[in-house]
Amino acid sequence: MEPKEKSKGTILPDEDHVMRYVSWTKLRKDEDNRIIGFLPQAFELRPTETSLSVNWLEYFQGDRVSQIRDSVRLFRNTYDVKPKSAFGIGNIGKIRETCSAAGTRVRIVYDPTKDNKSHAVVRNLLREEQSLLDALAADAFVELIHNTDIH
Amino acid sequence: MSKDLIPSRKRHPAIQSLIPSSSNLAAPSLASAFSFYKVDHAWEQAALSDRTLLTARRINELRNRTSPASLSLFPLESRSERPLNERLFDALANVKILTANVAMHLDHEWRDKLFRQIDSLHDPEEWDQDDEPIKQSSFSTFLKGILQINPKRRPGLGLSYTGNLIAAWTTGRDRLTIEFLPKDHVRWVLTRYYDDEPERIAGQTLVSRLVEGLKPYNPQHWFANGA
Repeated sequence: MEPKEKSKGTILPDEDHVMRYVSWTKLRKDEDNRIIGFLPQAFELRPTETSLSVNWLEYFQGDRVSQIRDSVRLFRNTYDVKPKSAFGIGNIGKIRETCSAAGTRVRIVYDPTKDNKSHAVVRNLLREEQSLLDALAADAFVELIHNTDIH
Repeated sequence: MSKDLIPSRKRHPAIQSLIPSSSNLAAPSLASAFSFYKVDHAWEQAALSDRTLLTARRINELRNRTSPASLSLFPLESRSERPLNERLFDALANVKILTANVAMHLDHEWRDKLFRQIDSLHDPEEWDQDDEPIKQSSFSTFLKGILQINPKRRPGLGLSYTGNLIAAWTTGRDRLTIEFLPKDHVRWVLTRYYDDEPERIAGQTLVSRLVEGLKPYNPQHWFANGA
């Protein structure tokens, strides 16, 4: 079966999910370096970015485990994924709700690239809005997948 | 420094502030007393011990971008084209040199842990090429902040894209995250859950105001042992 097809610019449905790559430096850890979640800065835009880059999980076929595996593998093919990094998964509806509660109306838009057909972006995210970023880290991207757990 | 060394009738308010209190947050710490109080006058120098004056000088050196006594060899604030390993090594070396200036105020065991944490943030195997290594000016702010807070529970550490050190405390679902910016500024956000509903507060202040800024939110919830 072919992966889901949507046209570029389509707003993704609330029931779907997105996956965000989070490097070691942006993971929330305890004093002994045990990973316990994401820092707000994991969802902060870089100075050169205008939208938050994610993978659309439901682009991939199969059950959830397969979707997660395939998304991580695609990240590895298109990005320099480091050993101790992780991935955050968030429901699109929850992400929009979280941002809306913080006064920001975001759009999660399908934005495929040549190398990554699952690519999507979160648009209109307020830059450096710490409360919003912390809410995304704690309440929206609630699932953490360790890179080392995916083969 | 014992308060018995200075008779009460001669105790200037600045000296009074040096006397440790039982609460970590109830009074300014030694570091904060000296970070923002210049020991300039002859009477001040006469009243304070040599050790205290030396500490004051070392803390104030943290405020100077280029201290004459600085052993920092490389201008780390600007991006360079030097090899990655060299940039990371230099950033770590400067952090350790800065720490040496205030080593007497840091628990030895925690200092070693701090270095391990910062080393791990700069592991070349994990490094993202688009990130910046830790800024010396951010670490300076961190040292001032952590000396003031003096938490019994140590934070987990992270690094922003632009090289600002991030300290994070987590107690159950409750979170406190502080980003240490250059020029003695801090940016913080805390979340506490009440009846399963989050209450979220964010602030940006000078590091000298950090303790005061957090006080209304019972920071011991994160800083105390057993929290």
